[in-house]
Amino acid sequence: MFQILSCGSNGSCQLGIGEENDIDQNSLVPALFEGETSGQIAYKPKKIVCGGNHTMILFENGDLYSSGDNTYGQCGYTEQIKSGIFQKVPGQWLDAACGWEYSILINSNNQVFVCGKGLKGELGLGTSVTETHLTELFAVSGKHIIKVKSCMNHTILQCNDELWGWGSCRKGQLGTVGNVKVLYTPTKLQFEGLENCEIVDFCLGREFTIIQTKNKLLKFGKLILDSLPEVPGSEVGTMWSSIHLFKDRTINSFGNNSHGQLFPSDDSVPAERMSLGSEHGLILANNVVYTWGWGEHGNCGVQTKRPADDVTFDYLNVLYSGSHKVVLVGTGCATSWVVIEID
Amino acid sequence: MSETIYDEIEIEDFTFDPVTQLFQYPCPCGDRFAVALDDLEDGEDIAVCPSCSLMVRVIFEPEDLEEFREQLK
Repeated sequence: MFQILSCGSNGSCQLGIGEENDIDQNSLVPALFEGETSGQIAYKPKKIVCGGNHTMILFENGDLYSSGDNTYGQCGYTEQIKSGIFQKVPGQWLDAACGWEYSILINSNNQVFVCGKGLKGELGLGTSVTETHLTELFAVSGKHIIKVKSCMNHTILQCNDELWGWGSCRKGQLGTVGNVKVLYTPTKLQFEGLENCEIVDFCLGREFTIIQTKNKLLKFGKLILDSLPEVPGSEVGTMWSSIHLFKDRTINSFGNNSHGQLFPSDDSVPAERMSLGSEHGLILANNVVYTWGWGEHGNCGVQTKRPADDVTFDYLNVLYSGSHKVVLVGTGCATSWVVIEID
Repeated sequence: MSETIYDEIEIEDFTFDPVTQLFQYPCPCGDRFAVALDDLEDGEDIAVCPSCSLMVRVIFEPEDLEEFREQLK
């Protein structure tokens, strides 16, 4: 059995921890699931993705659950849920991504569905801005959808060696698009310098995109950096305004450090996994979960090195050090997630 | 409370609501930074989030505000 623990911003019940419990949490508590109020679930979570105020949890068996703000149907079901716990999204799913007030889902038939609200083409449905029902955007025939990622206002989907995208592109985050500010429908993207390169991975920040090839990183859009770091063989991740390169059990960070977002390498512990939220991060090392960055909503736990009301965690703070095995960590907009396995 | 400015955001990236006369932009906490048109016209350039301590500086020129004032007529 598994238990999903969460803490942080909960003003729209995006932690899924129970009825009307819409206050910040600075300690980990179990998320609750429709039909399983013990807080334990049989299937293993595969991925936790978060929008501005909603959360989706994808399980290895294809089940998808969501909780949080559903004003525009971004949770993937139409009824307005009042119970503040995770409800099942109809269907079986392979991948999911969340933006500010929208979600993108992919099923096993390679059909891409969207729901929620987007004033800047975030749904990819032309100028339609709200779709409270899950709506098919397109289907990819004969090709394998590799992955989909969204940030605040833009989405990129990798399909074999092609990148397709839609949403806000004013800063260049969707590559070379001509003189337009928004891509309202899914468009095959062109990125300068990516020609004939194999795409290893890509990740999205608030107004930028990082594309990783075998031997270089490429940055598109607004992210203020003196120079683009070169650390071949790293796992690359992004917060909203910084990038983080994970290699050899530590992290090198670049970008906005207004609230301790850059990894505190002085405190280094042997990291095995990293997860990055809007402006904070988690690492897993020796079954202990540490957190750093901006923790105003309790998403970095309780201060242990600075005054209690300080919102900056410029050191690694222990969030979970229990005896259960940690199988997944996740992060969202000032939310943190730790999945443990219970015998 | 931190007095550090979190980021600088161009006015074109804000959403303007003619009813409330507020410019808004997503905050990493899930709420939205907001600043009133009147305040920008008075020379204020900081948008604050009602749910947390983060603040952003709005990048604009005074003449950028004219089109929004027009929308109210």
